[in-house]
This record gives sequence, structure tokens and C-alpha cells, in this order.
Amino acid sequence: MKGSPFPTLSCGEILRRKLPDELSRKNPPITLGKVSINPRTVFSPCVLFNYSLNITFVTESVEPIISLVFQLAKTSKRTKKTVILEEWNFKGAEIIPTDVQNMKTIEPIDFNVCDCDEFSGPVLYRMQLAEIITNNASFSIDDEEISAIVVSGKDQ
Amino acid sequence: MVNKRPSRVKTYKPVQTITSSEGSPHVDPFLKCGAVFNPVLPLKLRPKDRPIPLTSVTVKVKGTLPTNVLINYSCFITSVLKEGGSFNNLAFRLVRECSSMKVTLREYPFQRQLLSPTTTKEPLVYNFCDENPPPRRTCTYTLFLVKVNVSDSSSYDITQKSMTALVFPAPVKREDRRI
Repeated sequence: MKGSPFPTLSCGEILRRKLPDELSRKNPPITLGKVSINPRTVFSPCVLFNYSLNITFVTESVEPIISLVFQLAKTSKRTKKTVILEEWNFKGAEIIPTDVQNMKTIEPIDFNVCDCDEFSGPVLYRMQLAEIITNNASFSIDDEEISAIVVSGKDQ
Repeated sequence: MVNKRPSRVKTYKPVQTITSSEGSPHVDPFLKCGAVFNPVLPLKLRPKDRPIPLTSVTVKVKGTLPTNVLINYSCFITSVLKEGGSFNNLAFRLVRECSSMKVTLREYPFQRQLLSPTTTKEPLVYNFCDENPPPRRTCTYTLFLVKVNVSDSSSYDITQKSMTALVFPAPVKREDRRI
């Protein structure tokens, strides 16, 4: 490490694209956003990854269902090896027996992952959608934000 | 026992070490706690009405070295929806003002609409990563309430508001090899 250590904050990039109504796990995941970090500026690096978004969900008819599986992929830029650090499922369902007016809900979500694994070099984190299931409902993902703080995880 | 949070959070001047090229060429990270306002919340607020400030945080960066600022805003929103299908529809706006130059960074809509009468209180968190804001300036980030549209006999409340700014050196940009 050259010079004295210094923690950093990286602002990530959001990839805007039209999302399908359905996505099976047989298909490749859809990358929503990415952020790169270089852990070499601090001793014993730890990364605090943050991703936040609004999920808008509109019910359209009887028995609406929405199920989204998000995953956080971590790729070493040196070895190109990718691991899935976390996976989480956003689910909404209503038991609506009869046809009703469209109802719109906006769900704000904030997601953190603390990664103190051994780092061998720069890393790319990607937030991805791995599965989409909808029935009589539509959804959109807006106001996304992705960032990563690199700071020493060493006890004082 | 619930600890009552003061309505205005005191802020302290950060102890910043900005070194020249002789020392380490970076700004030490620092944290600023924001001010919280407790305005009367209207049942109707149209886009042409004056925005209502909820929280603000001021950051001074003296040096010219690139820094990134992570703004965090959190609160609880209570939605009182008295009839099936009734709703509350709010919008928040994050504004950055540096030397009287105002920029809207983001506008966040919020809506609750449920089939049966419901009262909910739920947490809301927004983060904004401001990449390399203008250097050598004092910048104030303010979160405003800019829209309120609630259905008849419904109401809402915004409580436990908080805002912080974390200032960190920006990483050295390198050509990003595609993976």
C-alpha cells in the first residue's frame, strides 16, 4: 500500500432497462446496478454495500401476485470468479376474490451487506434480479441507488 | 422507556485534516448529523405550493480533492386509511444547494393504498450517493415534502426523522475492465 491508508466511498452506476413480467432462473440474471471498489487503500478492508430502491406494484385483477428475487453478485476483477453473497425475495400477494380497481403501492427498500472477506484485489458488486413472477399485477423499480464504503475492519 | 429524540440534533464542526501533497493526499472521512424540522403537515400540498423542509444537513469541504457524499434520510410514515381502497400519496424531494446554486437530486414518490381499512406505521429509508459535488464549497442537502394527496377521511404522519451526511474520499478512477 502506497502512502497512508484512507477509506473511500464509491458511488455506483444504475443500469436502466425495461424489465420483463417473468424471468426464470434458467435465464441469466438481469443486472440492475453495479459498483466497483479497490480495497487496497486500507488495512484489513471491509466493505459496507448499500442498495436502495422503490418497488411500485399495481394490482390489476383478481389474486394479484408479485415475487422478485434479488441477488448480490461479487466478482473478483483479477480471477473473474463470481460468488453470490446474498439473495432475498420481495413478495406481495392479495386475496382479492372479485375484480376491483387498480391499487398502487410504493414500497421503499434499503438493503445493506457487510463484506469482510479476504480481498485479493479490486472487486465488482452487481445487484441483480434472478427471478420475476407476476400474476394480475405490474411492477416497476425506481429511485435506485448503489454505493460501497471501503473502510478498515480492524479493531482498534 | 422511550428516549425522546430532540427535535433539533446539534451539529458539530468536523475535525478535518486536509493535507497537501506532502502528506497523505486525501480528506479524512467525516460524518455530519442533520437538523430535523417539525412543521405542521398539511392534508393537501400541490406541486405549485411551497415545499416543506423536513431535514437538512450542511457539509463544508475546503479542499479540491474529489470527495463523495452519502446522504441518508430515514423516518417513519403513519398511514391512516379509513376505507377500503383509500390512499395516501406523498412525494419527497432531495435538493442540494451550494453557494446558492440549487439542484434537485432526486424526487421520491410514496403511496399506500390497501383494500381494507388499515393503519400502518412503517420505516422509510432513502440513500443518495452524491459523486464529487462542487469542491471548496459549503453545500446544504435538504429533504422537502413536495406533494400530499390523501383520499377523504384518510390521514398520515411523518415522525422520527433523521438525516446524515458521510463524506469520504472518492476512489481513484481507473479504467474499468468489463466483466
